[in-house]
Amino acid sequence: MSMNFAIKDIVHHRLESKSILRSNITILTLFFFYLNIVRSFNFLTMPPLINFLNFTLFELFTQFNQFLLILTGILAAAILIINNHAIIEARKKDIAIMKAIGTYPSHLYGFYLSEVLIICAISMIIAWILAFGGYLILYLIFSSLIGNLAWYPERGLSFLFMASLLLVIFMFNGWEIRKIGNLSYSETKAGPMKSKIHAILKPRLRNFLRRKSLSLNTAIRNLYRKKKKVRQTLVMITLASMILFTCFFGIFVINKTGSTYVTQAQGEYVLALGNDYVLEAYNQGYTTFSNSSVDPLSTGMFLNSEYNITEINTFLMETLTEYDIQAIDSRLFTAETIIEQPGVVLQALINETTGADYQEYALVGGEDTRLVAMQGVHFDEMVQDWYYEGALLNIQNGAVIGDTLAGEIYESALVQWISYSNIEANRTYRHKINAIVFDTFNRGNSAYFLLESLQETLGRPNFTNLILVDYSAIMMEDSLFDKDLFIETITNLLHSKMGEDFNVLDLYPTFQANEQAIFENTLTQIILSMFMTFIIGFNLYQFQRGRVNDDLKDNSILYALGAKEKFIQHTIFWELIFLISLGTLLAFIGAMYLIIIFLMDNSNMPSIWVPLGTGAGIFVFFSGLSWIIARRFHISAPNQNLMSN
Amino acid sequence: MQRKHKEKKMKPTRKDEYDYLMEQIPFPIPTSPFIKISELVKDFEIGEYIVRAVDNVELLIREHEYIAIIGESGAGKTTLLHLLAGLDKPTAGAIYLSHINIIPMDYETLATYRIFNVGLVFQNYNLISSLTAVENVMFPMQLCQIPLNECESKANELLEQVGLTARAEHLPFQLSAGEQQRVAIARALALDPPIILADEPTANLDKKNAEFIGELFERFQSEGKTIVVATHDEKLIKHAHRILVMAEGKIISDKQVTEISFRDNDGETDGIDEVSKSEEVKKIDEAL
Repeated sequence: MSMNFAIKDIVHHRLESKSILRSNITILTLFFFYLNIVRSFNFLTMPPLINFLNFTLFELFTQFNQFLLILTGILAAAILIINNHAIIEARKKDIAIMKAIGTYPSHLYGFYLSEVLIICAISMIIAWILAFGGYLILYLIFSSLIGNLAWYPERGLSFLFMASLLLVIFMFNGWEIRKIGNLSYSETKAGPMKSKIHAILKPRLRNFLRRKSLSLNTAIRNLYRKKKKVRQTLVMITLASMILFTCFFGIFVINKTGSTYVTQAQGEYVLALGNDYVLEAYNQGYTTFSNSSVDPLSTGMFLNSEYNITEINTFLMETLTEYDIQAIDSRLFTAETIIEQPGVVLQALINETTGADYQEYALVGGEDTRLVAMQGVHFDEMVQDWYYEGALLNIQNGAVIGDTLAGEIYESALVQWISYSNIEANRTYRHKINAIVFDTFNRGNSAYFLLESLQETLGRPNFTNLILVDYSAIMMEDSLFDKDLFIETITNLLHSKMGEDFNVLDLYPTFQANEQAIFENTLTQIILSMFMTFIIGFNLYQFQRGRVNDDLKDNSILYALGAKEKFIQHTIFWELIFLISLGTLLAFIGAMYLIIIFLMDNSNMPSIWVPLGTGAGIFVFFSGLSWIIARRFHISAPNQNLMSN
Repeated sequence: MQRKHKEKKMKPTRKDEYDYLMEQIPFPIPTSPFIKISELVKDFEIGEYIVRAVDNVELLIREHEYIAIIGESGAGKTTLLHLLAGLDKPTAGAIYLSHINIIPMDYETLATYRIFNVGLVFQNYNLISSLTAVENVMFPMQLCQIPLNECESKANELLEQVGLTARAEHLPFQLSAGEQQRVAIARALALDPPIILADEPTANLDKKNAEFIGELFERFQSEGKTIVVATHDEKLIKHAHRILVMAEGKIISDKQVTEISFRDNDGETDGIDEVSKSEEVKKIDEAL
């Protein structure tokens, strides 16, 4: 019987049902579509093995998308609940009549809860189909144009979300129907206002309003007294603004963070000097960051004595001094299998029997192995300016490892150790990990040691097979030197002193490719954000129009009393703009707080003007929508509205 | 350096707009009849059906006349009142107010027409839900840019007249039906309009409140307002000069109860006494 009644009621109120279905479907489609896309881009969960970028950036992208997905889910749930609330509010009179003719509360509950659940279920099914279709189209476009989008449609989470949402609606709107069933006549009559509202305005507000226009006066009184509706609208606007703010500001944060990290981890204008074999491997190490088809480094004959470039140092320094370059970064570069070594941490524990606090040392980490790029360096002469965690100074027998290595195989890297073996000498060496660096080299699977220490452990005293030179000074605007001439001079020097197998490799193109990879990912986020803006804007527009239509009777009365349409439009605009201002301000504060807490841990904050500009942009966007809503308001049949109760 | 003072451009008030509208009318304005309704038709489309709510109505209303319209539900009383108020456009016909046809006016001009000419009282009160009683009464005055202090004192005075001073700061839903209707009447009088249009103002009220409203209408009549009231309430009908009976959108009976009579300043009435009016009303009741 409930189902029968619910279906008849939906069909009977077909106009209202259609508008609610439209609103539900758009936001749910956005959520399901986003879920599919994020999964396909591999940005929903951290992959078991990073196959491009590196651990920190993946973490950043994942956090960002998870955060957005959660917000979109909350917005979808809020919209569904508010729409259901609107259905129930509109049926208040019917509920009262049914109560009056003796309908059992349980029947009432069944009738109207079935109705909202049917509407939500239909919305979910249609939205899922639309989202899937949209995803399929996007996949086909992407695969034909770019070809790096995995076919990874979402099923489990979508259905889990649908089931949870139905449960929330069952609980929340069900509770609401029960509550309406128990309302007194006067409480029902109060409509969107509190039944015991004290309508006298506070003197300060009264004085403020005395100096303002009548349309602003009417708008503020309307908002002041219909607090329930204001709260609902504020929730909607705040959530919508928060999503858009997080979207756009997050893009700035990710882009800025990514490019800063790449610059810090690689250096912008760097030349690598060494044997062709070493140079090729070294360049490959950086290429893997932006190109998933390039394999990570494998073991090689990097320690071959023929690749030793140490003897060039003196001649090179003489040449570089002529170009105002004062330092070189000599390295020992190789690829070795390392073994994770456990460490000890002091854990705070509670005695279960006595309840007393105590501390205990615990062993963390296992003995996983991985082939990584190893480099012996002088930490104070490096061309890189790493973003790091831990201590990078005074490293004697310690080690610095890349973020992917630390994130993927270590449990608590900064208290653990790293070990490797010198097969020739049949000895194993162990180093304490001092710092974790954000590294683009070999996708962050790297380890750095003090040059002399590594030379000693690997049995290669005075051996370096790579020299890095930072030529930023030459690229400065006021520089007197030409880059090509500089490279040619160094190449000639290498050829004359070391032979034709030794060359100079400019790492700038690789740096650019890596920076471009960050930008391409950001571009995808921008396209997604534009799509989100459109859907959210549409939804908010529909919601606000619905809100204006709810006040149609009051507006018709204003008109009947002699108010012009323009006056009513001004009143509507003031109301909307007030809610937009407050909503975007709350969203700005909330989103900034959440971004700082969740996203800023590993990220760089852009200039303060970026969040302010983003907030202002959202405000302007929503204000524009409000202006359109107000301008599109017309009194079409005032007499019919005036006759309704 | 002296700052050049810009002359502040004054925004035209609603009164200025109204005066401008009046200037467009050829003078002298004939005073009688005050309202003329000519071949008025109003159709409503309901799905495939067309319902004719007002069917070729012809009516002349003189100034200071009190007209009661009676008839069954669905006879077209409310539609006729809404057309007179300019709240709706007819399918055909014309309504002249002092020889000005209000039908071709756009909705903006009609709003201006209403504010200076018509005081509207609805069956379901139609108070603005988010404004208090006093704010509801003030609202039409504020629309005419009357200074706030004046609006407040006039609104309070009107509320006092309808016996609602104590409920001035209450919202509509916090008032009883009778109180809401009294606020609606006070609001209708806010700008002292020459015409009062009331749609079953006592329909939802108890006897006491209905009597009070009957007394108010009697006072409007004595003040010389032109009143058109759709009602079944004898307390309102008994003061009427004419009683129109409507059925299926047509005026089937137009009885003159008395000659136009309203109280002079000295309180005396000219015309037929109350008893004779009541007898006429009884006849109408019998006819129905």
